[in-house]
Amino acid sequence: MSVRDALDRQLTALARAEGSTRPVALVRIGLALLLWSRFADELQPFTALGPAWLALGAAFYGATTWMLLGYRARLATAATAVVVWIMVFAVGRSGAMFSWTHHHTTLLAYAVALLALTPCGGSLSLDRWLAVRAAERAGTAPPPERGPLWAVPLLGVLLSTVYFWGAIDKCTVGFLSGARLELIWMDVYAGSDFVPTGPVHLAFAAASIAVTALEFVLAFGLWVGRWQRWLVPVGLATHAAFYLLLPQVYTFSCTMALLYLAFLDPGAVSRTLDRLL
Amino acid sequence: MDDTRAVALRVAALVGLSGALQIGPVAHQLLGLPLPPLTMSWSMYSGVGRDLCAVRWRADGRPVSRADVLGATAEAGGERLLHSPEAVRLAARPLCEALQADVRAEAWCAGPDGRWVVALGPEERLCP
Repeated sequence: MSVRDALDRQLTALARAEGSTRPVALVRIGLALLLWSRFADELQPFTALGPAWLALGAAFYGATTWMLLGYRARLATAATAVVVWIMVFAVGRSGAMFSWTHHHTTLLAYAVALLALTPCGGSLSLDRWLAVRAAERAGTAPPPERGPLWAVPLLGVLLSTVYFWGAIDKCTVGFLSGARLELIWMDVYAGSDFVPTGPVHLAFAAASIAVTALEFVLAFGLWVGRWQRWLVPVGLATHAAFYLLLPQVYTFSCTMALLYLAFLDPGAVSRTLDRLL
Repeated sequence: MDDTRAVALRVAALVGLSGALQIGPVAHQLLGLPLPPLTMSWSMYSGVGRDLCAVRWRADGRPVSRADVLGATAEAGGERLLHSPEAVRLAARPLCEALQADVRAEAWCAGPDGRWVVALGPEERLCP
């Protein structure tokens, strides 16, 4: 079998993939809450300086609440994506809200847009509740919580893209020598009277190389099922450390952690939920 | 829509959207072009501490700490972060007044490629 045949077969299998809708439902709920966490206070009615801002706030609250509840969830998620893209790429990049153009906000915008391609309302949603109620009234079994999962890998591609290009950005002498990490440490913690020398400098250099290597490994390794057992905890711990140690991480760590669900076996996630609930 | 067409559309979406996510990084990080609309590059924390200096202080040849001499509050509130050799020279003044000594500093500032560059040598007297 040629490489092309193998690729064709793999892509076709991805396009036909079906499975539990619970992981993407969890992503839907998580993203809606993260959007509130990041933007809600800036869009409350009393912050509005004019009708346009008031309308944007209304659209944001309306769409995200609709998405969280999960009524016609894909449409709700698509509507939320439109609103968030307007906020990030139109309002933010126009200069009106520079803080909306950061990595963590753009990551949210991309994630919501890609999620709209998944059956994210198939579980843990008003859609599901209505489907179960309809089945009960008809005296039939509730429909299975399954759907086409072809778009779920795109959430993984988004995660890998962030890791890969983040690692590429670190492949400079300045970063790998440890100097960039030392500068960040000084800026955040130690101030200018900190002169890293000897073993301290070596530790920063080692940490810089380790972080870069880890990002490369996560970019590709999370796709390998048998590596996930090790890489998922390491990746999550790394994001927890970033959130704890660095300022202005905002929702970035939580969004990345949430997107790990895209790599996990949907059936395994569903069975775990069954055991927990 | 028949199954073959649906599969083809999904494969096209998978490949197309995966590629679209790479446009920003390739353009901005690899080729140095401005970020195309609706795209993002992933250079996190690239601006933090970009222009900082690391300073080792000496008074009459002995190492001193600004925090010890001036108090943590003064050091933190005023010039905790020094961004240029000139800022280092200015930060020496309170030390000169407090210690009445020959204050000097070795300073390394971040170069354009992120590496340390010697910015101030110990031969320069910083007190008037």
